[in-house]
Amino acid sequence: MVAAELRHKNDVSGVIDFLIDTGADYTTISVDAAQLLGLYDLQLSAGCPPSVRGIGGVVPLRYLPSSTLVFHGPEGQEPAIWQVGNLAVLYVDEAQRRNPTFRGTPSLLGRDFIQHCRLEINREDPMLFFGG
Amino acid sequence: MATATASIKRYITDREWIDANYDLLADRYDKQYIAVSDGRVVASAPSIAELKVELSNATLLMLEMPTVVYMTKDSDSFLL
Repeated sequence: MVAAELRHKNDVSGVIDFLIDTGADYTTISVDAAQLLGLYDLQLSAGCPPSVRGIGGVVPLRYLPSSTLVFHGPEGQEPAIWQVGNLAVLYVDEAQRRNPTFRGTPSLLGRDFIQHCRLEINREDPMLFFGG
Repeated sequence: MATATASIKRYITDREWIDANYDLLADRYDKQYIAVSDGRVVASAPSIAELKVELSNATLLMLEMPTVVYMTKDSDSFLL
């Protein structure tokens, strides 16, 4: 898991835990995180792709414009900043938000982010180098 | 408002506390969301919507959003 702070326009929205998912085309904000940060109360726009397909089926997407993710780096280093632009949010209605399927399901860092990184994996200290 | 780095540091500290106490917390708060701030649970509820109500009713003055995690004793695995 990687923690990142979501910034929307000039407002700091909050910190989100992301699972790095090399099988995901797009970075997506989970239903839990969207509810917690109040993203469903904001003006989310339609965009492309309009939905994502996962093992559990197809889920519609809406997009949070002007989004930036800030990743905390090792002590003494500047944080890594990814200016996402339109950030995909899993978009389900209020009834579905109570669906246990979505509970605890993480937000995903997909290949749209990973393509900017060098990922080194070892058991002791997995590291993600942004822009590496 | 805290800086980005301060917010993430605090979040990571809270996550580490949750991980260190996961079994105890999962026993007590099975299938609930918990909100943690500075190493203590400040609210719990079975849904995010109810948790947000709990937090808004809390008398504790919190300048920062607490760290929220879904607790379960089930050994969930992800297939994404």
